[in-house]
Amino acid sequence: MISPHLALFDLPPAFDDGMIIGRGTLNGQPVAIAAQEGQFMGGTFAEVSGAKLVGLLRAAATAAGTAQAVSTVFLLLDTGGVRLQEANAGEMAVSETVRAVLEARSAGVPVIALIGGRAGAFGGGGIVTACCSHVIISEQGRISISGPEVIETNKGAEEFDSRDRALVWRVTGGRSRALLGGADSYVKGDVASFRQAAAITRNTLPDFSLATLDAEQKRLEDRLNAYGDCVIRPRYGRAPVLMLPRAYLNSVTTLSSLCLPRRDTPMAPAELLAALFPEGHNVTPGAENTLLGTATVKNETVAVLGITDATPLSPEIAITLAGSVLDIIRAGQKTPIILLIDTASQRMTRRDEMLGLNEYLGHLAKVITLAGARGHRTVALLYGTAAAGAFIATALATQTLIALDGAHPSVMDLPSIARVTKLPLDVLTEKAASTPIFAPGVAPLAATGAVAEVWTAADGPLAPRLATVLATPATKDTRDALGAERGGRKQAHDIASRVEAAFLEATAGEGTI
Amino acid sequence: MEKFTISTRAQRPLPGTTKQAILGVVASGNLELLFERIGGDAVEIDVLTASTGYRAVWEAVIHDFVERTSPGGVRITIHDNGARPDTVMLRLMQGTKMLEMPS
Repeated sequence: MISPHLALFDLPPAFDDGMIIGRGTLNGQPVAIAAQEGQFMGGTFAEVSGAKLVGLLRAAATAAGTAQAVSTVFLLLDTGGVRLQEANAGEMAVSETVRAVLEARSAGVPVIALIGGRAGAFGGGGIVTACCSHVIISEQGRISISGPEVIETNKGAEEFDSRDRALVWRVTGGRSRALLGGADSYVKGDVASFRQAAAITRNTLPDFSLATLDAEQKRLEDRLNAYGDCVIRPRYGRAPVLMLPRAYLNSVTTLSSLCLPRRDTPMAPAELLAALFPEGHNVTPGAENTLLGTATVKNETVAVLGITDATPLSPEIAITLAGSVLDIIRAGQKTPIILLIDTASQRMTRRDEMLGLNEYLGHLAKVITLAGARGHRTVALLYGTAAAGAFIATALATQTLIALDGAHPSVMDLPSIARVTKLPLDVLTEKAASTPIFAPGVAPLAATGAVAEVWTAADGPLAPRLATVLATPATKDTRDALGAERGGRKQAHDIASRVEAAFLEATAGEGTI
Repeated sequence: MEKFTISTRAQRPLPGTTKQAILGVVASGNLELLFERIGGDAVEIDVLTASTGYRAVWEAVIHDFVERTSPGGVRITIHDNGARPDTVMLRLMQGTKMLEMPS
């Protein structure tokens, strides 16, 4: 199964699209394995490679308790994140992978990430890693969301000197991750050590439950309290660089807010709240440009959470929102949860990556997914921008995503894609007109199945439409089918279904690892 | 990117029973090859390469390879990402060895 999108960029495909999946045995136990090739296209999440992984994870969840069951799923990730040549399909692949990982964990099948390749686990790969039951890493392994080069490009070498290898490993490397809690097992970089760690850890893992996520919330809050004002020495002999005050960090402009032109001015939050909840609400601005409160829809109470002013998603915002969602779940009322989203991308600073931004974003995605699994209807209304990891952790983690006037979702803007793919912007713009697979904006993302509905003010008041969505029960993750139906992502659904069917037919114990 | 097929004949069919082999990786300066047995003494090589304008070099390397190993009855599909001729020859020989090994 080769990628149908690389020819558009004059790039050679690979027979397996850089992802090998299968079934095997480890110490006599049947297991499922997915291995990513870090050298092909930087080990990326794309339509075909992502669908193979999603199909495998869904099969592992479906097979639980049957004769085809596996005891564990191992993810051998080696990735730079989303493949920008098929950015929208890749973003969806990450979001669907996150959901499928959590589905497998809910079914009692642990998912273990093994990070030891040269590419590491960056971008969406960092978020996927954080959603696994257990992370095994070697010294060479790295986990992060924004890579050092990306941060340097946006903020300058003073923020993060990507050529300073020692600094890069101190911030993102295996030892730092293991010490801080971002990885659970620290092993030597050889196959035998990974194998041994994989064999002994898989039966002692936390399940995907409220108790587990409550503990995770506390662990991440404690880390932020303890190390939130950390100091990192860039290199031995140089003066320490003091972390800048939080007010400065919040004002820092990121790649997305710089380069993502706001097509339309988004509605002001107050105006949006009034339009959505004419029956009344008590939603008020919280810390760090968040919104929190309740509202009434058709005489029923709904919980409302939000991010305003295109604020980059920081560990602080993620932990605040996640804490609120956990409170709502704990209340036990199955209250519907509405997320109003106007964020940028994840915040790009060395400090945030050092603190494990991937864990904070992964935690937020997990908590929103758990709410959905426990009977809360979760709906995101995107009224501003959302990009990259922040998009995956917020809007894409809900059951239903609706784009409003002024919404501008993206993975990366065209000028940045042009820089990475080394194609002139006008050539890229021309290509974007022929396919929805990588271009930013509501229409291409709706075509790939990310956005369920697009609401414009011209179509009438928002409140009754929201009531209709809330009254419609959520289904399983069918965004790949929606993408196939709309023609924006033709292969993902078919491939994932075929992988799932083939996995469920195969007999256990074919081959070993 | 350039795509072409080179068809030739080998002196004898390739021994061994392994039906197919896949090797290599589409990394920078590397290539991926799929070997399949088609029977007879024909050799068909489909090349998809990221570097344009090197068809003559490919033909020279492939003819050299066919003369040295005589891989009759084999179809080879190549995805190349700028591998040098010595790497290409190494991978071709490696794939032939994989087919020759008992399955």
